Amino acid sequence: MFCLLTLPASTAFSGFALLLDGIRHPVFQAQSIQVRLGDGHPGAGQLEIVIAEIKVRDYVWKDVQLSCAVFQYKSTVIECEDGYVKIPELVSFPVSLHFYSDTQTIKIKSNLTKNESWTLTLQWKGQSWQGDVTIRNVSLDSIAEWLPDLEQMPKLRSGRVNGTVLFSGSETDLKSAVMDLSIEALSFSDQAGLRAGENIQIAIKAGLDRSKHSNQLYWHSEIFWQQGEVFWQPIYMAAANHHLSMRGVFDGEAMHLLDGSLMFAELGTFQFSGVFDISSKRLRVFELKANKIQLSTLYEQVLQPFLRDTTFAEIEFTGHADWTVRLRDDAVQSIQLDLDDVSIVDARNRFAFYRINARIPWLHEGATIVDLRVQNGHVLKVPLGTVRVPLELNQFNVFLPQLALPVLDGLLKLENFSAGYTEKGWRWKFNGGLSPVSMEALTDALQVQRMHGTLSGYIPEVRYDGTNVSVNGVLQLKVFDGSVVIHNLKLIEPMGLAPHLKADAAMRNLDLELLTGTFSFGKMEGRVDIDVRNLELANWMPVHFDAHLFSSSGNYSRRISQAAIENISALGGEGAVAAIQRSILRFFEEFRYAEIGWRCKLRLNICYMGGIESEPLSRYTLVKGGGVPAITVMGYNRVVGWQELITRLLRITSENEPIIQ
Amino acid sequence: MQRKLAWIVQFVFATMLLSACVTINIYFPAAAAEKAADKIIEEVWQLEDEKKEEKEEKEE
Amino acid sequence: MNNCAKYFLLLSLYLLFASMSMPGFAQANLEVNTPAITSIKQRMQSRHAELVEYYNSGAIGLTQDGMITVRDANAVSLAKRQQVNSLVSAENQDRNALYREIARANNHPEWESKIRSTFGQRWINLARNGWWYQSGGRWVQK
Repeated sequence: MFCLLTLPASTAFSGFALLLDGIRHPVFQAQSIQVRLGDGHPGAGQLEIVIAEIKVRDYVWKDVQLSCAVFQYKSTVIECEDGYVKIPELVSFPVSLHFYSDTQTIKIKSNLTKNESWTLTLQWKGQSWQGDVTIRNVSLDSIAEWLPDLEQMPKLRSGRVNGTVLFSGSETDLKSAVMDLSIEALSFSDQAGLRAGENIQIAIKAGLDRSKHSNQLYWHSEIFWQQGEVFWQPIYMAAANHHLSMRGVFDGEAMHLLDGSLMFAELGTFQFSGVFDISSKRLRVFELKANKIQLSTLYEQVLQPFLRDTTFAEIEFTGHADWTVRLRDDAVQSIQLDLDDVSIVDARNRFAFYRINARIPWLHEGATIVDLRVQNGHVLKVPLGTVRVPLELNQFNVFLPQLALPVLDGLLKLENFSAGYTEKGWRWKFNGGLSPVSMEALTDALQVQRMHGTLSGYIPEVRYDGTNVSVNGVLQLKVFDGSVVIHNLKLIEPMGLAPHLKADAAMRNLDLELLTGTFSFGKMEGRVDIDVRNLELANWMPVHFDAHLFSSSGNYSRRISQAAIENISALGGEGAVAAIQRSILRFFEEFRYAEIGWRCKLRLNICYMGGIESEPLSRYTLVKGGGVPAITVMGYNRVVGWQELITRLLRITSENEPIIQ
Repeated sequence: MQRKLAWIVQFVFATMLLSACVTINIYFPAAAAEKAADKIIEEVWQLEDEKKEEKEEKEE
Repeated sequence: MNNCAKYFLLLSLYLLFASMSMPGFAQANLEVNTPAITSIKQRMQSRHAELVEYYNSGAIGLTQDGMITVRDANAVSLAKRQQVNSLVSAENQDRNALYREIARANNHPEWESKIRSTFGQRWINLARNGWWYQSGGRWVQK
């Protein structure tokens, strides 16, 4: 069977040396083989073989050396003890070789260290062969040296292998193989520690069978992750009976994955199948099915690290989801996502949506209709009612012709809602209107001072450009028997860390009696207009505005109680109150006034105050008397810290009616 | 006519002054910013508390 | 007409004066006491208690542009690496918001980058001994 090309032999003193130019075999080729047999132990010889090059298929090894300190040649056995195999820059290990010519068996054993060993047994009969490998505690360090040293690849730090591999074949083809291996104490890490695993234990069971007639290779494998932890930026996972099993066929051209299932404990099971084309390196088809996936675990373990810089960075996600993803030629063809009783609650309490049930189909080409229902929820403290959303999906565009969203006791109507995903993120716009919402309900929901009236509006266009929400149109409120019109409303980063709101507001004909009654300020009768221009709220607190409060035009009763006067004076400081209390005026419960006015220009935490007059003087009139008994209230302090003013206001309104002595 | 001309000259002058002011306003107050930064950093890192603790430790 | 011109001259002088005094005023103080800044500051303060052990161990370090970054993840156990990532990301979001809010509070949004670089220097300057910071693309221990 071996074909010797040349055989120039020469005998030497106490032994012999042999030089072969080459050996050619369908399985391997060897070039320049030197065999030297010398004197060794009594009754045994010493063997040394050096092969300049061995080639098996595409693998080439150079300068392969085998030496045997104790070499014996008997009738049916060739023995090599205390041997050594060395392939420069690859491996070198101690070895013992036994060749039994009667059973055509070769047995190779290597005791690497005291506890580390492997054995290879190979037996052949005619053209067929079979064998087994037993591995005991072999350290992976030696294998690590074989792996390519790439900077971006994590380096193997430690690990041990135990197990057996059985195989059989004929000529150059492998017919079957069974593998049962366990890897213990496996650790790996890259330089930066961003892709690392520690103390990992995995059990691998795999098998391979060539079909008798066609050239197809059936394979199956099962991998159990039993111990250890892995951090693969940005995902962390610890072992907890995770399990992967796969079954497939390889036909020389494509790898067919007939059936795969990945079971993650506490998360759910993923099933997949597909065909991978070897020559074009393309995924011909692929299908992934996920059943009853626990969204809380999915969010914590997988999604959260990817959503870190978004609005959804800190949410509570509960419920289940099923999905099916189909790929063809490396591209996603369709997705079907079903949500089952899903709730999304923001940890910062900015929004919450409860009991979402949805069927969301998506196609690579063509439009689909989403059926989504939300039981209830809230956005920025405003509660929302049950809503059914019939969304139209078309690739990366979302369209909603009409939606009526219950907001408290009113209805927010959305029309022509359209959203699209662009390079700069999501953008959306809609128009619509708000049918009256009672202010009682709204103020209660927002946990602010209770107010009476209604809020309604027509919104020609609301637009989100990636960071800002701007409202074109006006929002109308009916409060305190008057009207409020809000325009130029703009929200900057509404879901960001420091949301800003900008707006202008014009309030007309507010009933002072209702207003002062609501805030327990002390009774005042009359009507006022308030203009607030260039209002800016940061984190929902005012940081900038130009406010002007003034008496409305028209005929109405203009009276002010002593309590209110004291409170107005108290806003400017304590001194004025005492002055009134000491004066004769304290005998009157009520006074008449002709006009009231107050201005506040808020700049950098300071309120620059003014009164009825527009020109800046050292003092200003807040209440201008008229009739009998009349009273005029003057202000002297033009510059007041905003916080100080708020504190004073809170003190006054919380004390209710001040006591009149 | 002359008065009108003076008016225009003054208007132009004033506008120039105004635009000059704008450039002055853009000037970044580096020292103030540093002071503000130090104040915030001391609060965030609680450096004042640390100093106090150190003092107390020394006194003990 | 003459009165009008005089008035205008006065007005322009007044404007000049008002605006001249502006830089002086700004130089004296930078507004940092808005509600937005205060809430960002409080969040950062409470987060610092968690971050400090990672500054000490060298797992995270300060960058020159006023941010923080993971310097050596190996100094942290595998299970905590994700948490360190989250902390760093949340801290950087707050730092970005802080610089932007200071610029906005002072009515100069264009100052953001200068405020950022000022902070960048000051964080490093006030860092404790043993903490790491970036300097010219390299890590230096204080």
